[in-house]
Amino acid sequence: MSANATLRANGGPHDARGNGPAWPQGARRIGLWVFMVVVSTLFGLFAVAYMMRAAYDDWRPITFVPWQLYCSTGLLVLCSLAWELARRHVAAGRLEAARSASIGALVLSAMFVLSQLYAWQAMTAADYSVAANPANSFFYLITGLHAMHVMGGMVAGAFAVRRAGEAIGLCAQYWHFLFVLWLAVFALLFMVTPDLVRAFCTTIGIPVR
Amino acid sequence: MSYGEEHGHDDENHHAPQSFWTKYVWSQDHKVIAIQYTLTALFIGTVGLILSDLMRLQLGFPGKFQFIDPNSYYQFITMHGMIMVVYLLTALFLGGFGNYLIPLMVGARDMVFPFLNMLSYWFYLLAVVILCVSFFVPGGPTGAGWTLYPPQAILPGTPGTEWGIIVMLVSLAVFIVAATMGGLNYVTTVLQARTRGMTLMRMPLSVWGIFVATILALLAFPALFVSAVMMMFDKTLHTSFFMPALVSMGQQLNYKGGSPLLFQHLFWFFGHPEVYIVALPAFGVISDLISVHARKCIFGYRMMVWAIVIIGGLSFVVWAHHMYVSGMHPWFGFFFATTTLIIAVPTALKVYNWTLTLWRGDIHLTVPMLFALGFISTFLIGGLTGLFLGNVSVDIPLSNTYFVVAHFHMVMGVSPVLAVFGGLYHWYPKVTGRMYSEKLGQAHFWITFIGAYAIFFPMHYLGILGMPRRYYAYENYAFIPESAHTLNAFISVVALFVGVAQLLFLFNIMWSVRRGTAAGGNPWRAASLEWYTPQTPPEHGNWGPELPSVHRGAYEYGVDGPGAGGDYIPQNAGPEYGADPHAPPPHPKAHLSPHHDPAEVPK
Repeated sequence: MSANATLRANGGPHDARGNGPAWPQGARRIGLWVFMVVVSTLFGLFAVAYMMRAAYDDWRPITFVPWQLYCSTGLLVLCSLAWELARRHVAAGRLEAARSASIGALVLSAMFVLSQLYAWQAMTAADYSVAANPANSFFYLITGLHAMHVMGGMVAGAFAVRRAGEAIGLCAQYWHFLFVLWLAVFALLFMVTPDLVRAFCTTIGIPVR
Repeated sequence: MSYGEEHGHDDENHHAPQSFWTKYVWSQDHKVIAIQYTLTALFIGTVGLILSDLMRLQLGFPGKFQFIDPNSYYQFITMHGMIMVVYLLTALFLGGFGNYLIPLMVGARDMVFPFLNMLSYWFYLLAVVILCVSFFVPGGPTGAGWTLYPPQAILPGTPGTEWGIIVMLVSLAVFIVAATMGGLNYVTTVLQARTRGMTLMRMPLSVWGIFVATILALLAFPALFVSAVMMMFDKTLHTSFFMPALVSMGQQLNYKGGSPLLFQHLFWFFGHPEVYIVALPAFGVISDLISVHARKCIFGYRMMVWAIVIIGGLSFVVWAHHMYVSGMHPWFGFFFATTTLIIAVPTALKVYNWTLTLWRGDIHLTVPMLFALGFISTFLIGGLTGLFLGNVSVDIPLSNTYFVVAHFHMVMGVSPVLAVFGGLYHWYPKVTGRMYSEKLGQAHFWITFIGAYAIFFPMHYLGILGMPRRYYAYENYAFIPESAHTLNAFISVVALFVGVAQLLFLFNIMWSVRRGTAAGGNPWRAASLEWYTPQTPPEHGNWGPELPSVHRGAYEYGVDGPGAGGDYIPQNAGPEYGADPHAPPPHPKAHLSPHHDPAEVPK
């Protein structure tokens, strides 16, 4: 660890233009972008699988939206805002304020995960259990995977809070992404109706059965 | 700027990891991680090799070996396929070659995220351990075939449906996490950590191959992850993603409405790019080997780069050619057959360029060169049969026969493995500082190369004869003549011989680590950057006090270069070389004092 720290402190590799060390910030930002592309691919593939399945004529969409999901959405907005606040504090050099804001963001993220669990409970209580039909299975699978990405972010976020540096900016970026991703998931699960899928498929020439 | 300025060399060594544990086990040094990846992959690859020989025992001498019953035969098939494709080749090319070569070839001190790199290896090792555990769970490993098609993969009657399939899916998920962590590192390192003057179009083709393959891996492995997770749900939570309503063993099961075809689409959306995840690094390595050992600039460098990129892009739109027999709309078959044949264009272009690089080259038949030439031969044969199978009307009768086995083993089994061996023999002197026995290496090559042909070439014939693949036993089928059984016995004997002969390789590399003759820093007189580290093997930080500056591409061979009898110009030799044939004699340690010409740095 210390050897790597030495390497970094005393001039890591140069970027292609020879403008001094490219580590750590530039590399981390690129790394985060690549990661977000990978996560988008993952959810995109789930979306494709979901729509392929939804095109079958025995598909029964979920009609019940537990109110907890709106609560989750609100919490995720607040997370995003809190990280953004923390990022601006860092940019202005107010490290203590940044630290409190990002701890707030982490707490809000934990509340988001709890709210999702609550939503699951409400779904199960309303007899929308995981194996009841494919739409339900997709609901638990995709929301669960999204929550896992939030929790993974919280681990990284905890490290960022400890250092209270520029990494907080990366956290803000990731949480904005998680929020957009959540909106996409929400839209996929409750707004993409079989009719829409069929219309889409017939438009691009895929036969539906 | 440099990391040696304030500290002396002794002091800098002070910071390098010292104890055995930090140096070799919990290492964050890309070179150590590369060796860990390589050794683990070679170990699990040996397991895969033994499994293939066990299958050949049954196929060549049916019924003679009591311990191979139909169940274990299918388990051997499944584990052999999965191990070879994912745990050996993917891990070795990206984790092994990628880790070792990327930082050295682009002039970086390490990967940009060393800790993530270490985690990547440990997750990979965990995936391998979980995979091995499946041999010992009740019911044994899964026998669903390496494609794990539902519904049979999780229904009773297939071996390993109790635990084997679960263990396999968990292991794959862990592997994908490992590959993603590694992949983030490789891509970011190539984009961000190149040294002064190392533009993208000066990178050796090995780096290009690994770079594009990594992007493919990052985008394709999620598809496998999605299918693995959904199948896991179907198995453990009894959801019906892939499971239609069906009757199994006389009982109506609790599944309804799932689509097995959905799995096939997801699986092959991963599975086809996977072919190129393995092939593109092999292309890159072979290009470098051919150029160095034929002492010629690679023919059409730009074309080679664009071919790699185009193949990578096209590999995402050909997946359904694995599914011609699944009953698809004829227009889809037409579309996928067309894209499949189009991908032959950039691939053929690469083969032409290798051949044209060899044309009038100063060919040295070293061990790495032999393997490179062997690769071109086997890849050509395997690629040509791919043209047959890419056409729907030809594929349908051949799809379930040994013709397919022959095709993909030639193109995706033998060829990448020859590239792996070539690469290992080529960079071994850099990794260990020692040279292996040339004679043993040559023996290893000829046995493996001729053996591969003796094993897989007859399979084309067996396939056209109509011998179905995946069968446990072939007795008592009227359409399979006696001669086919004789041929099967022949294949098995050769396969066993070639399998045992791999001990030559293992012995050679293990023995030479200590007993080999000292190789020096650049035994092949190569021009690319990884041969110009101040120490061999390179130490932690790779480059000593000052990072090298790069002034040209990696393939300046067959020209007047610095050094006695030099027919090449190192990438980091000063800008004065190459332009003026009467350049002053270089300092013998020219590579140790990189040039600091501010005019070289574009503002």
